[in-house]
Amino acid sequence: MFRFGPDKPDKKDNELNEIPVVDTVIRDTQQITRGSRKKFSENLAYNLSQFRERLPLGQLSFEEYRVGTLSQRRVVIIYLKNIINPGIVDEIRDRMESIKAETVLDGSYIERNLENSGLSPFPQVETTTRPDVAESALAQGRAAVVVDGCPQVLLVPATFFDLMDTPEDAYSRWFFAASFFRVARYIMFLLAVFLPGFYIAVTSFNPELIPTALTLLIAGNREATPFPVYFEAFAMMGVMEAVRMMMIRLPTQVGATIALFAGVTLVGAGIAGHIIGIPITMIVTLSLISSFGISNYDLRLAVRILQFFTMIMASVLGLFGLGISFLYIAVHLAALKSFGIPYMAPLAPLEASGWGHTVLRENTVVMPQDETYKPQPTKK
Amino acid sequence: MDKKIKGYVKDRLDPRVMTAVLVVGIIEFELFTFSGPVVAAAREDAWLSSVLGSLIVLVTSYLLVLLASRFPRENYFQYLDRIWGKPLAFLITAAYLIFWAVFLTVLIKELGTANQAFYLRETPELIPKLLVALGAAALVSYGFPVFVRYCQLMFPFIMLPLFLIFVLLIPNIEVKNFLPVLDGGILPVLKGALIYAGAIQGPLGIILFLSPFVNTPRACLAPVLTGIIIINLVALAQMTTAIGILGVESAIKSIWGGVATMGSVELPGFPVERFELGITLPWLIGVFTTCGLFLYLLTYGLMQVFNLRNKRAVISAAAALVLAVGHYIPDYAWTMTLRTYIAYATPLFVIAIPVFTLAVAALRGQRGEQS
Repeated sequence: MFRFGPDKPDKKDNELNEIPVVDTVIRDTQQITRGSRKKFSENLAYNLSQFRERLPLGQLSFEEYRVGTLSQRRVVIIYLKNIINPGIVDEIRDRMESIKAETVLDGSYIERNLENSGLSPFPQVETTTRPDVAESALAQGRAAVVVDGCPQVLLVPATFFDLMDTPEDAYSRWFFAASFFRVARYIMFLLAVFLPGFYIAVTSFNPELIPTALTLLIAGNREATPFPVYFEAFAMMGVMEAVRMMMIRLPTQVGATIALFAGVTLVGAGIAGHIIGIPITMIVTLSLISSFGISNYDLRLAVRILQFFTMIMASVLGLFGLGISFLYIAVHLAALKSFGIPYMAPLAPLEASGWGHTVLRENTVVMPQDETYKPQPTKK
Repeated sequence: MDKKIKGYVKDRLDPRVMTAVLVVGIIEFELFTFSGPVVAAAREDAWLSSVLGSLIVLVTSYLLVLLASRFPRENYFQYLDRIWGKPLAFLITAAYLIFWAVFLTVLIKELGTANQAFYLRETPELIPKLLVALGAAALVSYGFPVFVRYCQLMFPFIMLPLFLIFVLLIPNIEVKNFLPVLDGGILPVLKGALIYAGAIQGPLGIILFLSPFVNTPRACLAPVLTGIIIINLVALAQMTTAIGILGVESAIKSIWGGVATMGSVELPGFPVERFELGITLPWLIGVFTTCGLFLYLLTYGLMQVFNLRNKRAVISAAAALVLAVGHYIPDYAWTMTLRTYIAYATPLFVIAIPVFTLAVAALRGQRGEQS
């Protein structure tokens, strides 16, 4: 392991001084409407230079590791030594040094070794291609892990609220709008996970709880359809996943068009032929739209799997099963930690100082500092 | 500063967590049953019994915090033998463990019955009970700090629906159902107050067993009292809406008073017609959390008393035993009878024994080693 920076002469400074020309590649995993569009690249030197540009070198610390017995991939941990909790740095070092791998093809290999729990559907490491997000994370007392050849930078530790954050929340002028859309995002998260299951539960087990007018509408639509509600729901979710995978695999120029055409045609034909009902189509589409309100890709994947879990529980045990799935997920979230930081902080444990830039956005002119990552006290 | 993050973040709890833990840990079947015996005893004055009973619970909670403050970093079972002597302390401890086991058994049985009545009419009772027991066992196995975080997470999900429900019910309350006031005299009110206080089983376990995780138990006083006030307000709201909407006779005869109250609400023009749905999530959260709390008290109590090491084995065995015993309670009439006995026994375990313990400790000048 090397430590380098202005006060550690082990490593040449040349690498940091040379800013290579980066290939012009579309990297649209995180789109925004306001703020810098600068992104990290596969070039380690360029990525490190982004940190050097944005943050004071006096406080910035770089620790390099060579991971992989075959590939010897360069992995650099970056943090602000005057802010980060030393315990977090020690924990990252321990985990990095315990990695036993031959090759490191991507940052996700490092990510999986750094996480507290590989079984959990919830990612405990945040990934970003944006230097401004990484800068913000360092200022909060987190560390960045940069892998050579990978444009995604890992940010550790990570809480649930970090994964639900978008840069626009910080860049919006009006705090009220920013807070409103933040809360809306959390509602969308709940809708994405529970809406299909809720629909299955009330229509299959407790239709008396649905308002009469709506019940008659749903019953009228379902009269000619041959399959039970849960079958329709699973089939529609499967179609949506297939269309999504199509859009990723096909070339950009034609992929979106073909996928859209295929999806619309399939669903339209299904509705016209009374194979599936309109209500379930609306429910599944709404939950899909809600899932795309989640900015973090790994969390979105987790939501898609959790949707199936809640749908299975609702199909088998109705509203009670849906409630139990909610409780199981809540228990798991309460128990989950990321480098010793509870995953649901600052909601659980309750830390009011963190609410101003997690659940809501407070009306401040500076970025607030909270205690979520137990940073060192700032010297005045 | 301790370098290791594991050492730094030691899961030492902020006293302010007591509010959320108390609220989420104590509310359970009151949402469905609102303590029917209180209405049977005090009739139209049941709301007065709630108020008086709330004062009893508040004072008791204050005394429990005082007791916990005398023995910081120790839970209740750890200092009982210093105050009462080993033989008597062992008997008291065993009695608590049996009390918690019986309560947990009855709670899980009630869960199965209510579930079958409202949600899963054809599913065998054992399946939902097993799912709740499994989840509660998993929660308990993670330890008390995780339980506390879970309560904090669930707090808005339990309070917001309850608040909305109460707001919806207010316009349907008929004041005439509360008249005449004190028609039967003060004695029925006092009897109802004692029954009400007996329905709140949770404070002892939470206050006296959470104190080792808190740096200064005395700092828990305000959060504890806040939590108790919130619980009492919820119970009072349930009581008043049930009597105000259903009337005393219907409220006494109704088995699931809370559900009947919700079902009688009509808001012409409002898109939602059946409001019972709104009670589902708070009820499930409340029951699940209370199961987790009492399973924690029971299993960690057993481990402490009998010096057992294998946490998971004890938790699994306790959960399985509770499920098995609960399965053999014949019917809901038996469950209601057992609930009544528990309500009569609760003042002894939650009020009398801890208050006497505090009195003896104060008279002898006994304090904890870290006091």
